[in-house]
Formats: sequence, C-alpha cells, structure tokens
Amino acid sequence: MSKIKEFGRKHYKVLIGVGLPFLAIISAFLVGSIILLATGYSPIEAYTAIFRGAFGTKRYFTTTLVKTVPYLIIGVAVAVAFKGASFNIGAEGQFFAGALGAVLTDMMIKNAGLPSWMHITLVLIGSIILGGVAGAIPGYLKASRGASEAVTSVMLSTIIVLFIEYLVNGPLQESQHIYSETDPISDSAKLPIIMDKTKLHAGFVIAIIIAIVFYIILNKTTMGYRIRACGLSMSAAEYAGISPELMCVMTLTLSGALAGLAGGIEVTGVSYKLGTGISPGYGYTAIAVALLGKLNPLGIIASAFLFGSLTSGCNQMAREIGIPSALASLIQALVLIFVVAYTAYGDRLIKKLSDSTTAAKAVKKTENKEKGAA
Amino acid sequence: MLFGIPIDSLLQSTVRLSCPLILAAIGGIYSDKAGVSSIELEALVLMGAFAGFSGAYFSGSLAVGVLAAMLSGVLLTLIYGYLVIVLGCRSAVVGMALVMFSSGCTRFLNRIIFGISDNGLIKVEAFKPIAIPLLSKIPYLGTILFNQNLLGYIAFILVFATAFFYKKVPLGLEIKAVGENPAAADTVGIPVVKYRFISTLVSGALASLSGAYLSLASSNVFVEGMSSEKGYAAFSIIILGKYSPIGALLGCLMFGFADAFQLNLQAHGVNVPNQILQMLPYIFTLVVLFFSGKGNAPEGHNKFFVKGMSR
Repeated sequence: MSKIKEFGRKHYKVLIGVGLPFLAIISAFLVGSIILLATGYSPIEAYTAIFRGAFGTKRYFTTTLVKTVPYLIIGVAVAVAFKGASFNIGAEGQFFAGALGAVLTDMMIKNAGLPSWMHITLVLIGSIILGGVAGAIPGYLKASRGASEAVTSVMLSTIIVLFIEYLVNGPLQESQHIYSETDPISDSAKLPIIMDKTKLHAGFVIAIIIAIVFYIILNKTTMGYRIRACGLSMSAAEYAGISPELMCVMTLTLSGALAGLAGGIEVTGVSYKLGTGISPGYGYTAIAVALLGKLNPLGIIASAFLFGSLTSGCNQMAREIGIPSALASLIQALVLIFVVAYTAYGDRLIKKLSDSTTAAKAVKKTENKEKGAA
Repeated sequence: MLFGIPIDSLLQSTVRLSCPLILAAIGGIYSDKAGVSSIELEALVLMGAFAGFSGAYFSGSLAVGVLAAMLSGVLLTLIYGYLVIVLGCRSAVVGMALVMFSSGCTRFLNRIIFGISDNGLIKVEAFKPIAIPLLSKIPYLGTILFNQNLLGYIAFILVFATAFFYKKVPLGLEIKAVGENPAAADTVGIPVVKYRFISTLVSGALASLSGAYLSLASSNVFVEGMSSEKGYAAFSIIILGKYSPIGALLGCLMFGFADAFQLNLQAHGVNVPNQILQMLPYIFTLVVLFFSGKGNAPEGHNKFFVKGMSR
C-alpha cells in the first residue's frame, strides 16, 4: 500500500495528466446514458451498438480509421494555434478552403499528364495554400486590430462555406447541373488505397506523420519554442525578442494550412469531389479533439481515434437501432466539458501536491542541516 | 426606394430582424459588465430557441415557452459560470464546448421528440404583433416601431432599462466596479464572485429570449441550427457598441439593416446569387470588428478572480 502511495507521490503529474481524460470520457458516457434513459432508450444497447459499429468488422474498423483522419489533422491544427495563444474556431472554413484549393488545382493541372505522386502533391499544396490564407486573415485581424480571433474565424468560416455553396451551385457545378457538387477529380489525383477492399487511404499515414512531425516541431525546435513562448505570455515573448504580432499571424496561418490540408485529403481520399456535405462539422469537433489530447500531437492521435470511433459507431447505430446519430456530437461535447472542468481541478491538485512536496523537501533539508550541525 | 425596395418595408424588417440580436446583446452585456466574457451567447440562443419551442408546443402556452427558454439559459450559464468564474477555465473554450453541446443536444432531442422529416411541419401559435393605440398611427414610425410583438417590445424596453441600471442604480454601479477592477471592488467589500455569477445567470435568462424570439415570434417552428451565428454576431456587436446598451442597440439595428437589405434583395429577384447576399451580414460583422478592434472592454474583463488574490 505504501509503495502505491510512494509511486503516486512521485508520478502524480503523469497520473493526473493521463487519468483525467479517461475520467472525462467515463463521465461523458454516464451523462449520455442519463439522457438516453430519459428519452426512453437503453444505454447498454446503444453503447454496444456504437462499439459494434466502430470495431465490429474489418470494414467498420477501417471506416473508423478514415473518420479519424480529419479529426487528427485538424486537431493538430487547432493545437498549434492554441499553443500560440490563438483560439482558432474557424477550422471548419479553413478545411473547406483547402478542399476548394485541391479541386481548383486539380482543374488547372488535369491535362498536364503529370505522374500521380506529383499530381497529388501539387493538389495538396493547393489545399495548404488556400487553407493558410483562410487562417492568415483572422491572424491579421487579431495582430493589427486586436479583434477576437475566436469570432472573426467563425464569421470567416461561415462566409467560406456560403461561398462554396455558391460555387457548387454555380460556376463549379458538375456538368449535369443536378447535384450541388463539383465534377469528380481526375483519377491520378486520388490518394492510393492502402488496404484492399476497404476505403482506408494513404491520408491516414500522412495524418500520423503530421502528428509526429508537429510533436517534434512544437517540443524540440526554436519555432515551437517561440510559439509556446507566445502562448505562455505575450510580454515575456516580446522580452525574449519575439514579435507576438508576427507569431500570431504565423501560428494562425500554419493552423489554417493544416486544416486546409485536411480538406484536401478529404477530397482526394474520401469524397473525390467538393460539396458542402463533405464535413459534418469536423472543424468544430476537432477543437474538442485537440483539448482532450492535451494539445499534444501524440495525445491527439488517441483522442482523434476516440472521436472517429464515436462518429462511425454512432452512424452505424443510427442505421441499426434508429437512435439519432446526433448522439455522437452530444457525447463529444460532454467529453469536452468534462475535460475542461477536470483539467481545472487537476491543475489545482497538482499545485497543491507540488506545494506539499516542496514543503516536505524543505522540512527534510532543514532536518539534514540540523543533523549536520549536531 | 433603395434598389427598388420600398424604404418603409425595409425599415420594418430591419427592426424585426434586429430584435433577436438586441435580446442576445443585452443579455451578453450583463455578463460582460461584470467582467465575464459573453462568448457563450451562441449556445444560449440555440438552446433558447429549442426550449422555447418545445415548452410552447407541449403546454400550448407561449408564456410557458418563454419561461422554458429562460430556464434553459439559466441552466447553461450555471455550467458556464461555474467553470469560468469559480474554476477559472478559459471562457472561449467553455463557450465553444457549450455551443457544441447545444448543437448536439438540440439536434438529438429534436429528432427524438419531433422526428426528422417533420422539420418545419410541427408548428406552434406564434406571438402576434400588438399595435399600440395612437402611437401606431404615426405615419411611417408607427408601423416601423409600434407594431411589434411582445418580445420585440421587451427587447427595446430592456435596452433602456439596462442603460438606466448601469448608470443610476447603486447595484449596477457596484457590478460595473466588479468588471472594471475586481481586486479593488473586493477590498471595499463587494462580493466579486457572487456578483459575477448572478450577472451571468441574468445574462443567460435574457439572452435565451433571443432564441425564443426566433422560434416563437419571427417564425413558429424550430429548425436545427436556427441560431445561425446570431450569438457570435451579438458578441461582436457588444464590442462594437463599446459595451453600452445604447451602443449595442445601434449596432444591432445596423446588422439588422444589412440582413433586411439582403433578404429584400433576394425577394426582389436581384441578379446576385443568394449565397453571396447571405454573406453580407457576416462580412459586415468582420468589417465592424476590423474598425472596432478590442473596443474598450471593462479593465477586469475576462480576468479570473479569486478572493484574496490581490493581498
């Protein structure tokens, strides 16, 4: 028993850091079951259906992985902005800007006869550029005018989605002029499928690489240090010779570029065309993903997987037993609320514990000194 | 006539479209004045719209609907206030979480209670315009201002009542002190956390009336996502209006005008795609934020306060 206590005392920071997200998930499911019971459904039946729908067969499981991709990339995008003290809620619009960039680039280079890998690369670069521009605008408004990026990015996001809606009903509508979507992209722009007879595409690998690369960028490079310095304190960053305004524009541009890339990957890997239906609000949900992953890209891999499972599981559940699939976003929101609350508790606990450890150390030190003196 | 639109009908719809914004913005001002960011407004509007509609639908009484909306707002701000004021979580994060929660919750419940396909077919008896005797007979002004529904009148009364409250009433002045300088207010014995919490709850009750206006007055149905960023617009308008109720009123009227203008253009079949017209109010908000920047927020705005922190 005392050994467990000893272990707990030594590693309390890690324990709290890992334990809280789990506690938050459990709490969210508990509240979810209360809501299910109140509306006349059996939580056990619902949750087993979600589990079956997310992991039941090879096809379901790969669908879950495919759903994980946008959450993961946008989650990292949001985390980058957040680390730099910018609250990017407009990732949804940047995602669509990126999807548009991909489709437009494909239209331009369709007939150039490029090899597939080069075609895909250029298309994805197109999505990164437009996504970056969409992220830079709120960054500029914040840096130059002090306008809340939380609001400007949401407003811009709505404008972009409306603009896409206009495009796919107007100049970019498919050649039959029936559906509100673009023509399919050319075959050589499609991301390769990496597992036979499934929809799992190479974007999944790209997403994992992005998470790892950004883990390194944020934690081991000067740029990451600068971003984090701005996140901790603007005045301290300025003192260290970093221009907070410039960094603010840069982090939001970077964040937008990543979210845009997610849009490009969705177009080249899943939908193969652009329409307003390609995202069920990935950009908004990804904020919860980033926070649940503690803004750590490696943690975000886990949280994106959880949210991907919830989304694909709930879709399957809705088909099987008819509970509305909106249950997924309800539980996801609850997870976010509990994570936020428990993190606040956790920070207090950590502070209390570290105070008591420092106190204990100080007592020991004086004791040792006294011994030495004697 | 403006682009072929009769001015008086344009102004009538301007006032009608401004009302939900005014209710949301005035609600938001109550928490902003006490130093608590009102970034959760969007959640209050959406939840208010659903709660108001369901309340009115099941009871058959609009009054119950309005009370249900206010209750939903109080419950949401209870969570918001606890997390932001007591625990010190970042308001933007909690606000976002609540927006997600309301969006998921209203979609889930709407489909369970009213079914998916019935969207827009299940209706309630909506608030009717009440013409004020004599005043409504004034040419132009009468039809524009004095032919509102009950919630519309409440919106305008709230603007002036709120302005009076923060200018003349001692309690209002004390709350303003809490927003400007919580540490100083604490030193002279004003209960900072308590005032902040109560202000936020009031804000929840009032802002959710905005949702009730959407589902019970300007329409008689609930549509998923019907708040359509009105909460965020109100949040920006508060900043534009420099945190004063009268300023917010003017901002809301301007925003309402942009909205009325685009709707009227659409109705008159102007040769501009609908989606481009629909962008107008949002572009307007961005331009507004560009020129107003931070505005002059209360000094202690969005700053976490713990009793005894200053000592």
